[in-house]
Amino acid sequence: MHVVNSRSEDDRDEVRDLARELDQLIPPPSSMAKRLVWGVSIVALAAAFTFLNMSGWLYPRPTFGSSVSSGMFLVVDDGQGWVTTSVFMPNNSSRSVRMTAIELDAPGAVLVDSGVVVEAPNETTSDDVDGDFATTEVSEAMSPEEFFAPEVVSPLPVTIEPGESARVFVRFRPDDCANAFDPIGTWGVALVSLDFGDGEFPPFTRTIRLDDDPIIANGEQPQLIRADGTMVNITADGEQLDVGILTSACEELS
Amino acid sequence: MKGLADLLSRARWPLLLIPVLLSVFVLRGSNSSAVDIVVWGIVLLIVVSLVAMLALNLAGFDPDVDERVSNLAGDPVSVELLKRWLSRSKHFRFVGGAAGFVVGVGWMGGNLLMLLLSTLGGVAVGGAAAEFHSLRSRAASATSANVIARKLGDYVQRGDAVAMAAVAAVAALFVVLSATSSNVRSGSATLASAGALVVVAITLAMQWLVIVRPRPALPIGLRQADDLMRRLAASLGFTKPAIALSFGLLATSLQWFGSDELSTFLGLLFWGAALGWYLASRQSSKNLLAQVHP
Repeated sequence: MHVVNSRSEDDRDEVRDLARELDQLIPPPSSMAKRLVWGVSIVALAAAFTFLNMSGWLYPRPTFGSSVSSGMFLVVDDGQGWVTTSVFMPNNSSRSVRMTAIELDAPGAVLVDSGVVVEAPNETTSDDVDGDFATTEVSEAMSPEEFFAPEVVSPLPVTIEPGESARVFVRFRPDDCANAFDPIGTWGVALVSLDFGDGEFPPFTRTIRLDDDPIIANGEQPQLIRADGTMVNITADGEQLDVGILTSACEELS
Repeated sequence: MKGLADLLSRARWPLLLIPVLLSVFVLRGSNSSAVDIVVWGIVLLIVVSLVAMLALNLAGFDPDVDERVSNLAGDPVSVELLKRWLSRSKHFRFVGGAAGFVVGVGWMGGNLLMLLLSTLGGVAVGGAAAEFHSLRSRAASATSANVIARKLGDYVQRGDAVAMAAVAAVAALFVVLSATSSNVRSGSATLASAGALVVVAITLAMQWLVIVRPRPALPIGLRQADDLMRRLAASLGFTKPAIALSFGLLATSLQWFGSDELSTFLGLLFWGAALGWYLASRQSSKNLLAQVHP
């Protein structure tokens, strides 16, 4: 009997040794309840991060989840020697963002001036698409007189509160009228640099392209208007002239 | 908890009927039509099934681990070792993938490929995190060690090593090209390419960590099982998911950088490679056997 007990003790020791060796190679699995808590906690943390990110608290994301467009025309000012237009940027995030710089991606043109008009939420039309994640916002076009009212355009930096929209004014001129090539397809995309403001956390700066609202979308020629309200690229009969934007601008500004 | 999970696993058909019966019981009282009752029953069934599946996977419940490990080792101790690794790796990868998917929803902005990339990233991070136990300090009572030198080449598959070298070379090229480009979106392309390089570097470091970590003196059977565990970790565990992620990053870099036919073709090629490496990283019986009998 004593021999049997001794053998079973030896067996138990051997099992304990093997278990110890296994534990050295890889940790023993924790209980399912503990693993469930860990797993749910990590996914919940990811969900919280996603919520903060989507609502724009971690990173400036004013245009997330929406597409924008604005009634587009260009105003030619031969006195100043520039063409003015505006593009639209809503702040759909839950946090105010500060616009610190504006650039223009428009081959053949050079940006000479820029500014912003902040519009309250009710000044734009929001068109919710049923059953779709994205919303489409359509901004009404401004009149040529508004384009020529410099007092309404704020210089940068400008803070845009949640729900407000920014109408970004860009003034450009063709950089070389002797060798002007009219653009094909989509042309003239504004780039805006954004942050949360001085001393705000996190201190991220982001440049976003307002791709949804280019000056020329898919080759559709915008209307060019003179300071007196007359059309440049439309005849008296109302026919659209088949002249490119840079060529028209060069002819008017020369 | 494990008993409950086993019970749920064994009694899944009766449990699946409960939501249907419940919806019939509730909706009959509200004079709903038969069609309403059927539709709500099916909806409830799907929701309950999804929640149960998610909870079980988040808890690391692995009912078929015995079947998957049965052809890998003979003695019970080696089987236990491999079962521990398989369940641990699968659990970490699932939690990582789920977290990556959730994070991707916030970043994708309508681009499903970004969601796929984020999920791949989560799987790769989860697979690597499952091996972090290599960093823990050894037990003080360990008085013996196996001193046989181990080399990366004995554990890492040649195909994976070649893929990592190719990813590193292409990523370095993309970093240089995108950094010197005037393309306005090249900044994002540079980040994605540099990300692929970082993934390769971290994977190399992880391989070194897992393969050369000290091992106590063990019986030969257990030593062989430990070797197999290291080989599985350095292939299916984190290397293949990391390669899938780095191919996805290269494809994303191309997507931001170029839009011509060649870029589209190369982008598709990279996404195909990413998907291929991800499928090869799944811990199916077939993939596991391929590691035992390469």
